[in-house]
Amino acid sequence: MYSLILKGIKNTALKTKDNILIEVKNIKKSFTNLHTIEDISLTLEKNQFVSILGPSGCGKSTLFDIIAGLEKPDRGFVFIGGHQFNGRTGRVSYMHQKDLLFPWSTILDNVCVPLILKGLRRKDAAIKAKKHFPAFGLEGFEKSYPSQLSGGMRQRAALLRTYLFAEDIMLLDEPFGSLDAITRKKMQMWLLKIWEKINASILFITHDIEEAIFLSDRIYVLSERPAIVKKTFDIDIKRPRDSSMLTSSAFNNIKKQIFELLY
Amino acid sequence: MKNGLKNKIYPIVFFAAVLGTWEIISAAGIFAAYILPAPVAILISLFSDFKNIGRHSLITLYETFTGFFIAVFLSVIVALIMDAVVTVKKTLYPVIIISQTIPIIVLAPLFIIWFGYGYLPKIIIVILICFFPVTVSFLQGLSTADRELVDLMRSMGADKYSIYRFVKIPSAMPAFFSGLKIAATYSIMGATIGEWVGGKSGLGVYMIRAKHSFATDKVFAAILVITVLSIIFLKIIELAERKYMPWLYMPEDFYIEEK
Repeated sequence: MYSLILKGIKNTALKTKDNILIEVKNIKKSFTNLHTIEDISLTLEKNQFVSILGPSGCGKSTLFDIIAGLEKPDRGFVFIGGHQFNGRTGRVSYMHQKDLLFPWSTILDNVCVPLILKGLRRKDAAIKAKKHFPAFGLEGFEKSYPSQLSGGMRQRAALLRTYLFAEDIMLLDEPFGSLDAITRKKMQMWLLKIWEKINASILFITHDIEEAIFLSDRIYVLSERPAIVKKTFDIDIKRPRDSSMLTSSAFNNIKKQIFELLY
Repeated sequence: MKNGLKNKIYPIVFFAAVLGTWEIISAAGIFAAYILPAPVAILISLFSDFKNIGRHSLITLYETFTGFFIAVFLSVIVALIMDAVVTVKKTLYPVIIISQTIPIIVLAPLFIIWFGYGYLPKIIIVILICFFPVTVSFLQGLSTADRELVDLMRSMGADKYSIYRFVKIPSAMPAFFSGLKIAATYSIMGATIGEWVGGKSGLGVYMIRAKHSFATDKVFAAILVITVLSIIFLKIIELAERKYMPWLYMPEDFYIEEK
């Protein structure tokens, strides 16, 4: 009994200290005339896939800007790995709906940018980056320019760049939003597959309910602007997941709940 | 490629027709040779006086390139400083725009008074002619760099130097090159006009001397040389553009399909 309590304490301690990668506490943010975020708190644990689901224009991207350190919150804190990161850049990078690859650089040079920024020499950066090209389905396209690749491949290159910047945490802001439905499904499955390989934690923004359930361990559903966390869903559907999950009753049950919450 | 050739046929045929008509008019003796020499006569005088023209061309080219490279060097530095420091931009930008409305050529006599009859006043004219288009277009390119790319760099903790190196300067290159092309087009003309106003050598001087002796064929020969040199200069810059910005010339409808 006593040991059980001790174990419980130990577990909580482990959770707060080691397992939590990102902790967002009571963030509030207004721009002139635009009250974007009222109060958002969330946590991202090690090896977790967490989605932020909400209507368009509800401040999801602002939340990412705050976590990435590009914007300062009016109130509240961002902790990454236990350190306060309000308004500090350079710890996590994000990936957008737009691939934001440099059109003037080859794919290899593009994904090397974060490594060079960290002080690696171009040659060493290229060696390190090239190792990941097969896993990211980019092998053979090192010397291609972004304009020569399809939308899905460009997004994979953007993801590789994000991954090379910070291997443990990735912020993905509607990364597949601009892809057609079929490519999008393919990319979701691919993302799950690669995520299981790379041991990263992912914070994922989407307004697609199915996408959120399919990918995540936990979903934070946000309200309209000014955003608050309406409800948190823990998705206990076992991994590895595949497309058969999309028609399961557990999936539909959660989908129904979120649907009723949003509309 | 085939299509490009087909499209080029039209201007080539038109140009040949103009030359042919010109040759016929001259052969018919409608105008005296010192008014309008025939195209063939112009070519003959070009080749017979080639050594002389070549010597003067080298002088003009020397002035042009010296001025051009100094101007580009200054432009890049000034534009970078203006882009990096807002106060400098606010101060200098209106001045640069207004000064662009001054036809630099009218200043040529002043430069002769101040700097004599040597190469210097011509080089200064070339510098002034090249400086403004390059500075303005490079600056424009720097300031229109994609905000989101800059933010992405910032999120990765990039400093100002890296943002310029990876994003701002590369994205300003197309604009920079169009500035270079404008500058190249006018630079040889600038040097020549500087030589008209006063000098001892150069294509401008050659033209003035030919004019004084009513050797109109030689004046035309000099015009031909200046035109050809300007085109070559422009083409060199276009080649450099293609070499340094291959991504700009990728065919757009071509991309590799998903595996």
